[in-house]
Amino acid sequence: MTRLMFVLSAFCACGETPQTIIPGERIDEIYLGMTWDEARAVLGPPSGEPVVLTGLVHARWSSRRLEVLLTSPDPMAISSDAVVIGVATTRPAELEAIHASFGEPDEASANREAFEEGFGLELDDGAVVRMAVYPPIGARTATIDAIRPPARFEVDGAPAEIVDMHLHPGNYRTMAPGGSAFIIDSLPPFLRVFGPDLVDRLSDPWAPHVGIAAQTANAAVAHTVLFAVYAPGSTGVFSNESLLEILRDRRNQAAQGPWAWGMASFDFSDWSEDVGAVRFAALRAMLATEPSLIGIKLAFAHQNVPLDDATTRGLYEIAREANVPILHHTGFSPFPGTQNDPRFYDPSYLEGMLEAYSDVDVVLSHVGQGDARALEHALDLAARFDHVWLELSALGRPLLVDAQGAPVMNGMPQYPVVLDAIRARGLIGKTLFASDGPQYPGFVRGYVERLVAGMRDAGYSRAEIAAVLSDNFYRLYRRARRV
Amino acid sequence: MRENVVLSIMVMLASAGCGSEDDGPPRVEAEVSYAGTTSGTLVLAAFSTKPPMGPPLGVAQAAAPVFPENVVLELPAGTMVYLLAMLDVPPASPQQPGPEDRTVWSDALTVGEGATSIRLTIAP
Repeated sequence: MTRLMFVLSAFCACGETPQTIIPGERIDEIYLGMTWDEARAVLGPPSGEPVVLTGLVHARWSSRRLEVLLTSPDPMAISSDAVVIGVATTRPAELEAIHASFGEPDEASANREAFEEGFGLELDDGAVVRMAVYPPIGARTATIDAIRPPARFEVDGAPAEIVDMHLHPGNYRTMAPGGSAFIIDSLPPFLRVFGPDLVDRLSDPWAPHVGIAAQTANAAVAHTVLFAVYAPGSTGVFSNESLLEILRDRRNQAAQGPWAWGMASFDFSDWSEDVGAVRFAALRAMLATEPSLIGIKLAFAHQNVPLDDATTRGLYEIAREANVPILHHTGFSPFPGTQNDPRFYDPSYLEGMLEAYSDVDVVLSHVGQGDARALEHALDLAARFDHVWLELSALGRPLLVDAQGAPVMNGMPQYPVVLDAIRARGLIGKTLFASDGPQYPGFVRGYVERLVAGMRDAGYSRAEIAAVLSDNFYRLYRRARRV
Repeated sequence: MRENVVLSIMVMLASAGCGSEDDGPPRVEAEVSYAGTTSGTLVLAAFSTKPPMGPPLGVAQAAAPVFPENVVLELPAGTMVYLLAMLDVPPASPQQPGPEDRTVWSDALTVGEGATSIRLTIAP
């Protein structure tokens, strides 16, 4: 394998000792893969307490201008066997010198550069202010051996099962550049320089301590549904075949049933009738032979396909044949490259399909969030059509457009209003919990807590909360059997 | 084309990075008080808006706070921030305050050179 060794010796005019930086390996004597005890033995106590963010730990040594990123088996504390996954230095360096020796970066923006050999730069007005070393993308080998059972979850003293039916696996290389940049920008600034490796880990079901399985276990989520996606212009691509690899993995099988089921998706890129026919046939065959695929997931706003596009009728035909629901992304999306014309996100544009395919269950993911008109249309469709269901992910975001179509910016999460409306309209029995994770460490756990608290505040009974958390899911997704 | 080579380069630190720092790095020094009996990790987070519309600009923690607890958060000088002090009561959720957590927000403040001090009191 070709591997570029890059040794950067940094000298300071005012007497600091040189630093040795080897991409994908180490800065000075701090190596990737060291334990917390080993790193502390070298560096001594850090400056201030490490910041622990649900399995991810950031520690710094100000006098040495060093920062270390670790993952910890204990999600709420740094344990002695926490593992170093990144090292950064905040010594300024000359960008031109790095480029002269190393070539152009594989990714670059105004304030970040990343090199696939395993290092990244944070820039401020063209100057390097932080340089990080992390594993080369695609070369990381550590994975979990088995899925940890979820923490016990109770509602009013009674155990409750949680199914998170909206999680996105992925890998950094197949994400759209704008999509991965958006995700990295959503991290706190001190984590962004580690972004490529960190996003890759967070999207990996099997990554130790912070991967999707670790995050769902921390969140007391018993089962998940993972999505394929074909959105090369916005979020990226995670193919049906890649999804099946996860579902077939031995770690996904357990006595209490699989940890994850999957939803296949559909590729509209480079579309023609001939191409479409081949892809429809492939999806039909896949759903006929893979019981772990429990539905079809579509995100037309990300895929640049109008919700009422006649081309999509083939998908309803396939869903009908396979007896599986279709889940549609509805509402806004913050990802660059996403269509923000209502025809792509407002579920009212699905009404013709809903009337034509009354025997195909349709789930309105995100309840049309972001636009009060789309949100109202989602609630209305669920009230009028027996086969329309609501899914609660991404409702921690604020409303951006009000009922008159005017911009609004109150910063308040939408789930309290949505949960109230669902209860008021008698739709609790058609509502499903989901998070839209993994996003960042602790997101799934936090979303579970917020939504359960929100349901309590809205007056949901214990049985109604349990229904939203998993009972309704098992009623709708018939291929997913409760064990 | 990149090859399998070992490169050594010398990078001179920018002179701005080597200046004297008598006052230390720009930072917020928060003295957080809490008179209640609930325990948990103390989280101090800086946001550019209130309520937050994005990730925190910086985070500091005290895993076993003894009140009044002093927490230091390094931030770029000149940054206008709102500070959230949160007692993260189990179940822990340091990134998303839950209904069980105790929180207090500061008014807007601008980080100066050296230390910028503030006192915050979390209601019991």
